[in-house]
Amino acid sequence: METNISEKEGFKILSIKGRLDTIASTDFETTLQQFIAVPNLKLKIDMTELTYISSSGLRCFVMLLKDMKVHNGTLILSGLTHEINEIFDMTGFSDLFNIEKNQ
Amino acid sequence: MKKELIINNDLMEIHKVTDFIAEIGETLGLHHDVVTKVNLAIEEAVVNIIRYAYPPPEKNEISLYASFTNKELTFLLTDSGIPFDPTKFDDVDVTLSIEERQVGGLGIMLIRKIMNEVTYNRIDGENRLILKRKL
Repeated sequence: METNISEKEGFKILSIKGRLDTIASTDFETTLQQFIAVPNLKLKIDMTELTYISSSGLRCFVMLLKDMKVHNGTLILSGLTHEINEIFDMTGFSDLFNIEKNQ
Repeated sequence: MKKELIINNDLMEIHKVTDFIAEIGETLGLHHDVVTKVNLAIEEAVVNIIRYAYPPPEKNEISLYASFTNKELTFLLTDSGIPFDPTKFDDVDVTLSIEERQVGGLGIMLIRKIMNEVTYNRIDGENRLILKRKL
């Protein structure tokens, strides 16, 4: 798994590439630390190149969203592939997160 | 088709599980989408065993046996760790808001959603978890 951070139109953009499995989620949690407890953060996560996610990866998303709610942040997920979308549906994440429809 | 993989109770061994499932997918000519889901369910089950069956620093093995008959893919996971029944846990309440939502419990939920049958047995000092998926 690789991550990249950029900025666009007032949003921080976090791009994830590859497999977010149990092993990779430890690194991912570290990457997310910079977004924790930041007031009014606007963050978009680009998942176009995310090919796989396990429950450890999903847990990181829940923790991030919980924190951002408390700190008045805006979190948008974009570019979910069919497979990631299915996993989000199975776990009820589709209703929990603000997911941008693919163009 | 019959195939077996023995791994150590170390999270880094997850890569071997991924390769093992990919090989099964190739052998059976499974769709990429099915391989991903089965991989996910098996990863969740194996990670549970690594985390809960063997208290660190105990080193031990986990056996993953796969077979395919009558359009059904069956996995048997065996370990000799402390009794651990993943099926006794309730699913996460997906209707809860993000504030109320618990962080854990997603693994067993994914296993249940992906697999058609999940059975746990404790036999001869071993945990035996059988996961079946119709294809």
